[in-house]
Amino acid sequence: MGVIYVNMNKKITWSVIGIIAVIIAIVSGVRHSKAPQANANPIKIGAVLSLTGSAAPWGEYAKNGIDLAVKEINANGGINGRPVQVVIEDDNTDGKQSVSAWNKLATVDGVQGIIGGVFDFTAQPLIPLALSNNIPFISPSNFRIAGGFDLNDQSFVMLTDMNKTVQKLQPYLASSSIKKLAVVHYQSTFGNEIAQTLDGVMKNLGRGGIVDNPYPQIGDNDWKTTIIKLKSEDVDAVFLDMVGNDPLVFLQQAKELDFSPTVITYNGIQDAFADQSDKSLLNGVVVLNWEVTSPQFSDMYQQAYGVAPTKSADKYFEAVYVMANALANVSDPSQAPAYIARNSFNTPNGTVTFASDHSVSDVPVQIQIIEDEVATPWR
Amino acid sequence: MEYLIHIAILISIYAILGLSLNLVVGFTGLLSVTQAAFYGIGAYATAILLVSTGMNFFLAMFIGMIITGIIALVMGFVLSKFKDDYYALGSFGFNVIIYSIFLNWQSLTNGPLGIPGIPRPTLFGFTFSENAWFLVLSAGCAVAIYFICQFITKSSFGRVLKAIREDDKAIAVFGYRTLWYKLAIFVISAVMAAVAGSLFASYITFIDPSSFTLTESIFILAIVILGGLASNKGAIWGAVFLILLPEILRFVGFPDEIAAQMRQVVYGLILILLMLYRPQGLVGEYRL
Repeated sequence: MGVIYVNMNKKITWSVIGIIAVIIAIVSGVRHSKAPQANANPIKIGAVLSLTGSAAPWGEYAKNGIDLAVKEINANGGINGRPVQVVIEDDNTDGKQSVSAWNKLATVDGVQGIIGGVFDFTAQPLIPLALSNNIPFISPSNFRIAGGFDLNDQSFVMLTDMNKTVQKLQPYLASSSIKKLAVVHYQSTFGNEIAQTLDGVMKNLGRGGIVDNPYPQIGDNDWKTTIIKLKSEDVDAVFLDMVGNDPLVFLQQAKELDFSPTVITYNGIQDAFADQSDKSLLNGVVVLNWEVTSPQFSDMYQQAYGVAPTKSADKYFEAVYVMANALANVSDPSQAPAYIARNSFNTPNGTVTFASDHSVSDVPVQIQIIEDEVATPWR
Repeated sequence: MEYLIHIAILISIYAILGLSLNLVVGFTGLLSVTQAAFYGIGAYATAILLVSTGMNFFLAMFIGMIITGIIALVMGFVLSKFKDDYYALGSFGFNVIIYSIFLNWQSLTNGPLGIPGIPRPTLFGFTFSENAWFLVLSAGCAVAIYFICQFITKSSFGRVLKAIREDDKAIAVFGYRTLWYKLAIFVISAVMAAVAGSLFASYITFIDPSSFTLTESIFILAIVILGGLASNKGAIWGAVFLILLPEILRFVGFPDEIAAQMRQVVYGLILILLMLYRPQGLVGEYRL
């Protein structure tokens, strides 16, 4: 360690303050000049998305879904003749920054409703703000989880109860010969709920509970120890709650270690194999797909972005329709939540209806089995 | 206005964290990266007491400070066995342990689900529900802690801390028991961080382990280094700069497709430039 002593250089301090002030002045001007004309009285919606940080891959798909919805709605004359405008702010996958983004959207941009909160911990701090600011809020990519992701009068989620969705694996598990199921899950609200639900399902089937294997970080994990442990416990199926490169590494290492259980996971596993030449590892993987999209939406998305919609892009797409319709049909934005709660909303991806607990009534789920890179419905 | 108030609240909370860590890193020369753990212990203690017992915020905060102080005392004893880089690694280890406890002691912390619905502080029947009033509270705490830090660093105790930073063997020759000084400042610093944690929990009204990771400790260390080591004003400037800069960048008219990523790049570039041209920080007197 070296030591230097300097007097506080007032010039430098004031220079820093001056630079910040100049930046504020310039950029305020830039934003002001970019503001759209208000003559069409747009429906102004805010979006808090994780465009940087660990949830960025989801944030990008969410942004695509939103952009596509805005383009589609405005190309068809808007809603009640009003165009839709969405102002997007990044939260850097950080709960406190999601609050900053919300405050900016609510007070500086003057949005009438907000969608977003890509991960549970970026959405949670926004729920009380929806109530205190009286601004309708939809978190499209989150499940309602009682005691963990509780909603209030102003907030909604676009996925149903997490356990309801995971329970849809029961018929598959019942018909299979799986006796011992391990759940390798990230230590999160989401992962724990999967593990608890599957534990209940396996007990209901009289096959004992699951072998619980939580892990603490997303991405770049080495799974050899886990695989050896699962192998020693005679596990014959594993549910993988994994994203990023984790499922790919897990399946590669399982093959190396001669471990070949039935692999069950959720939609999105194909992403991990996008750049891989050896996609045979995916053969036989069972997918619990809760992103069953309409052909119309899938085509639309594919044409716009050249890839299939995943990572809740469809939910963000639908959320823009729901929020814009609600805001266009009420005289005061604070009435929008009541409107959302009692109406159904038609979108190019299907109809959205919310249950009394403010999660969607039902999410279409399909159990699929991958063979030769194609996911075909089970039964 | 709410947006500015929110930023000011965050600045005051992070100024407390910066001031507290500066006592250990800047004035005593101990490179600690465990401040987020103390911040988290304060936050969790307050949140659990507020939600499960309905206790008054200020009493909960006080209990949180005591709990944090006791834990810091134990950690400080262990860390006193280490020096320099090993001290940093040891403190890193403690941050990982505390984070893991937040994540896994589900019956107490609710694990990854976090604790929602944390109430705002109430004093003599007055609830700090408006953000403007919460700002008064958080800024008041930050100012109080600033003056406590000023008092500590200008006292004979503070001079011993600086002497330890310069050469702890030399100061030991004069009969000072450096272990006790290091331990005392480590505990004081942790207790201050607990105040920030209590304020954060009650302000955001939701906490989960993701707010208290090692990355957060590094962010707090960045506040201290960027503001200026061994300068209380520097810690405040560091908090102002690091909280304000990303918010200012929200207003820069980058193309929509790459705006968020560009902001991160510009944010990083500004930090690099600042460290190149002001390695002692904005108002620092000491350099690592």
